[in-house]
Amino acid sequence: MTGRPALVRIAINIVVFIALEVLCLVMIANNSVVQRYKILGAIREAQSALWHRTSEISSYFSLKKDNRLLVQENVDLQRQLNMYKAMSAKPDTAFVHPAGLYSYMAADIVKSTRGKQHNYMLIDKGTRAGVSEGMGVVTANGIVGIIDAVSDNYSYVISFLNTEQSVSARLTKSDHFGLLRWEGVNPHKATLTEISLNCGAAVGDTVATSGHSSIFPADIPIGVISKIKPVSGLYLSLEIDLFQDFNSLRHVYIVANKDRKEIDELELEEGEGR
Amino acid sequence: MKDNWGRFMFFATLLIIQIVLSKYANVGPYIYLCCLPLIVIYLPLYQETFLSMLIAFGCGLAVDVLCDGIVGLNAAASVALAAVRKPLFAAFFTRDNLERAVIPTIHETGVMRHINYIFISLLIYFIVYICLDSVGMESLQTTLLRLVLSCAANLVLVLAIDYFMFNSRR
Repeated sequence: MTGRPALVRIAINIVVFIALEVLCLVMIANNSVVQRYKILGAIREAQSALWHRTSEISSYFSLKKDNRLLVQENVDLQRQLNMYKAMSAKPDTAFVHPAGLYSYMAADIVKSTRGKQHNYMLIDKGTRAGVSEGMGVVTANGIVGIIDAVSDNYSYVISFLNTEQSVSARLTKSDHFGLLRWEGVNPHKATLTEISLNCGAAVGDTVATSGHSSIFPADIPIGVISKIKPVSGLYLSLEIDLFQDFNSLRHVYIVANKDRKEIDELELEEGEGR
Repeated sequence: MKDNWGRFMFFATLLIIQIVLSKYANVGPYIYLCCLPLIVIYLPLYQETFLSMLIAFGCGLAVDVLCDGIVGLNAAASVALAAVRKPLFAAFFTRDNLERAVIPTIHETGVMRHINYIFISLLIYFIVYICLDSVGMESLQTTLLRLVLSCAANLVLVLAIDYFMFNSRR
């Protein structure tokens, strides 16, 4: 017995102590009504505290799964919203595309750059998931970029934070539209150019996608005007505070125009004809 | 062999005194006279703690059953005291005391230290005993009064037993 390591001896003592005390408490509870009531009350309290903790821990570990479900739910809601928008935009049309013109697919960013002039990101969906080049990438807070190259399981996205990327955007109040471009300095700001002087823009007005391209659907909010600057007496240059925080971006939606092929073919035919 | 027999007789005597005290010495609701802690305190110090706890549990259970009390009450308090007995002894006495004192009597350890050691031991015993006995039914003042009076009365009892039994043996 004396040869046993101290830790083993301590462990044995603790186990024996707990076992004997529990045995005593059981005997006390069985032999006295008052003690039984109090002891069982304390045990139940400890049990419920333990269950509470356990459920908190298990819910923490199921967060990833919950998150995936929420993302899927977001995609479905986006699809529905898109459909209702299409319906309300064309109230007199006899036929409305059942799921809207655009479809959405959730994706996670695997890699991204933010500190360069030409930023990009990699997302975890590729041709196997139905992704193709030229599709848009958005979130509820604005546009993220455009898919430039696709492999089986991944896609390379040219980020909106790229000085060579521009997007058609409009003022939601007046419907005037122009080109939105990142200036390559501040990731929270962009510039909307080619806006006519009489557009009535004011600081705080919202800017959204115009829908004048087959990449992004209309009315995705992008940001608000923070500064107005006239350029050469004809146009305005508007500084926009972006809603999208690219530093905390993890989940995105790939947006696909269902009629894009048709639009592209038509554009190609028209281009060749001229 | 002879030493073991003498020790057994000593503990058996203490157990009988305890049973007699529990059955016949009714000194009011605030004082619980009890020499069971003495049995635990006087277990040889070379004894392994888990073995001391098992012996304390057996003695406590015997007192509970034979004295028609709530079964498990004295056993729980005795086991708690047996568990802290060695660290408590080490806190009050030197390593030399620990090595020499096979049974920590007043003669082995010195008067004042021994009284302090016994008082703290009794305090631990009665904290467990009174807490389990009253389980929130009594007010804090009543519980504290029971604790202080029981500790004081039992300190006198333990010292008396300690003095007479070991002095006479010397």
